[in-house]
Amino acid sequence: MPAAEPKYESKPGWWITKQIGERLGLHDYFNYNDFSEVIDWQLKQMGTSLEEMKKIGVKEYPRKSGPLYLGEGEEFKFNTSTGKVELYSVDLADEGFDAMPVYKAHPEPPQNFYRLIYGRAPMHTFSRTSNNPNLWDLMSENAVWVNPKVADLWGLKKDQEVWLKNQDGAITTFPVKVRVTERIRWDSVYMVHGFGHSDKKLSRAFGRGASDEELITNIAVDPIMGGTGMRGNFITFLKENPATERKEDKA
Amino acid sequence: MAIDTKKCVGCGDCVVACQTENNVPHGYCRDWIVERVDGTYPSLSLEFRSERCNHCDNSPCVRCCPTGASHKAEGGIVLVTHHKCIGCGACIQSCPYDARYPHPEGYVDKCTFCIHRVEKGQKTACVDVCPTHCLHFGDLDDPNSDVSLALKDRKWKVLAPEAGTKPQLYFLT
Repeated sequence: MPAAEPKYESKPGWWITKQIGERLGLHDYFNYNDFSEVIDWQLKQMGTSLEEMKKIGVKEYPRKSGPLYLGEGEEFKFNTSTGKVELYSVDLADEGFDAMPVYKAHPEPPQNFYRLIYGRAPMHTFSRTSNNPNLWDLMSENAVWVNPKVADLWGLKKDQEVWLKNQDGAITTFPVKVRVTERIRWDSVYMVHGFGHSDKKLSRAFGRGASDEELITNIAVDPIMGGTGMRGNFITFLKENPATERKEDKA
Repeated sequence: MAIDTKKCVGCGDCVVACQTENNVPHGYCRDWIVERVDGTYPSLSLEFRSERCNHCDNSPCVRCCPTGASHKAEGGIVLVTHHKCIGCGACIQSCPYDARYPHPEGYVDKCTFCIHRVEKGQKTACVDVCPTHCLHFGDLDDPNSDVSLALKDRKWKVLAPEAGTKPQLYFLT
């Protein structure tokens, strides 16, 4: 039940998956003609149906696990070894970790390098909307944000194209324009994620801006909970096209 | 219309909504985002503004139009009658807000405050889609309209007041 009729040749995700599945000989896993049959089956497991949900929209069931909130003065034990909210974690101490967070200085960029911060632009969703005509109109490429002090130091001008090289020698495939702005501190640069596409079939987005992913070769992993940190990479600027240099070397 | 610069994040949803609603050709727009940064790091102020035609009370574009295509509709909305417009561009030159563009089909186009929607009691497309609800539209003569209520307790400014056009876009600061 799409809210808007699909335009041109766009197909629903389930349809594409089913077509691929059937071509791989996996007919048994796609035993339906329309995904509404699957939704109907799922709803029937819960004691309702697609037909009913289309009419009522929301269906409430009585809670089986008691009230949602604690009553006043009610005894409660948290699921920790002390049964309390743990600011000091006995479990982490037992495992040999810091029981409370201990500050550890993070690595600083080497001389002439800057911390690479990446982020999102509000008009784009990751890298998948960069070829959308309307959103391309709004933002067709990313820029590397550089503090005016850094720009002065390097002689970088607004909209000048540079290539970026990280601490491990990784270089962006495409150049990226410089944006000189006070919105970034002088030990860091910033890029919007989702640009620098290398597929020519992305007719608008191809080669527009640079990809931050190419520069994220160092990934920090939190030893306690496994969370990843990808803002520990440092970049420097290349004002000349590194590809031509490489060709000259060969010749 | 009142635009809350403290709420706007500059996403451009208003721009795309307008382009889609009004069939604005690619590469043109009737509304746009301005980002203004003041100060030096780390003492910075940042302002996002969703801008469009100011529907000025004293509109130079209406005054300078040789054919009467640019006119003020009942209620104060400044409009262009496309079939009367010869595309001379005098209005584009006269507008202190650069709010008009030459449509590839030969006439001048601009924000209509979505009059076709407003007449049906709907909100303008940009107001309708704004994810931060930073746009307030309505009748400034009605003290209970969205726009009047938004302006009541807030400081606001207009753009280029020195142009003397009595602009009707109010930016809440």
